[in-house]
Amino acid sequence: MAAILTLWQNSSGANELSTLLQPHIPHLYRVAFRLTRSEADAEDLLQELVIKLYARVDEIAELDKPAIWLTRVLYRMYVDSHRRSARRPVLESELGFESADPAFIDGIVGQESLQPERLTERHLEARRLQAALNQINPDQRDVVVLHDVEGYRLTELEDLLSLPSGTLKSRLHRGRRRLRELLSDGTF
Amino acid sequence: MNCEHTNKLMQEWLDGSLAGQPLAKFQQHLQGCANCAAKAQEWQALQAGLRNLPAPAVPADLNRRLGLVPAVRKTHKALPMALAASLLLALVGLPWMLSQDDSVSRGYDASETVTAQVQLPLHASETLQLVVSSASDLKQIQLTLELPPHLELKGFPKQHIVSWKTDFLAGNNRLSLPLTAKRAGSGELIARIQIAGKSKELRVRINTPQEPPRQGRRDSKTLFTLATLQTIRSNYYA
Repeated sequence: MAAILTLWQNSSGANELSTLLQPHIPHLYRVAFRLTRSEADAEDLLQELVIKLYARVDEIAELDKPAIWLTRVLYRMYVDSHRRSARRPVLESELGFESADPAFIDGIVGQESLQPERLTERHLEARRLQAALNQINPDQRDVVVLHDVEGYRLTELEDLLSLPSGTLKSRLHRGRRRLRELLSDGTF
Repeated sequence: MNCEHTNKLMQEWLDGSLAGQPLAKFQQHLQGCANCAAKAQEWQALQAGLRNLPAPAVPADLNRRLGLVPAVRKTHKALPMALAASLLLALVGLPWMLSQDDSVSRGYDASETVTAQVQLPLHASETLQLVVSSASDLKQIQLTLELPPHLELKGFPKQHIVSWKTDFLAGNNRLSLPLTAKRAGSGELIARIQIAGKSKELRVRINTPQEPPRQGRRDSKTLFTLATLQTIRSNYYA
């Protein structure tokens, strides 16, 4: 019976994982949402991540910069499973544009105090931008959302996406140009 | 610097990777060229729009749904009641949450069964992870595993019922079961948790098809298909 008892890993490891992960969950959720473009899919991705990390608690505890490492694992899982599943296009309502939640509206307008008509402009602009983003090449979109939306630096993305600088820049620049084309040709 | 050269450097400027002399010359050109300055402004507006794209707020109970719980939670409930009301039984870390309110409103009693289905290829060895999350410390829980005939637990050859006593601490408790599919078949692995005459069961139907596994790298997710995850989640939200 001693052998089977060794199989049981009581809550110390799981609680340690909770302690290690919880500070990063808001950021990981946000990145997962940017990549999957759906709140439900973002949560699924995080669930898969947590499951995977149960076996790697010791490894996480040793990390100097767990945020980048966790984001890299998340991204690889996204590429391996979610992106290949060719999900349906995101619905506007899933982005919260119809949300009545004031906190969400605050998130859209930042700290500025805007007039209602300006707020509507922001909504429309965000809606058009997201619709255009949904149309561009996924490889390019990933780099655009991580760099231009989430603010990762190219040097960080080299590590996070395991891509050389030249490839990253090429995807980023092509993605932006494609976005401009889509937005300026009246498609969105 | 002319317009063509400025245009070539526009993206690097947006990246923030333009510096030193090239940046100074780039900016100097923009100051003297209304056309390039307008283009730069348009690109900046696009970038600002991207930076301001809204994202949803993190759901308030996301940590709970992910099975991430505070490290220490104390309760003074009697143990049988605590088991009935506060245990959460989760397959591979999923948030199969049964709060006290849920168990009352859904009419669950202490003899509850959770089911799921996974695939294990023939002759493959995989670790099935079961996560049991408890809202409180629970002592001397009887844990019994029943394995279907086609599976074997590493270290327990030809033994299909294994039972022992253990304690749960508040939070997630993980049981890692290294399983091998000895032959094709389909059957339920049952993990039964018992305390003071009350019990909960997790039943996982494990299918092992006749075909041998494909060559190449097989990752541990084979056991945990997305379809299974979705099924459990939809149950959870039902």
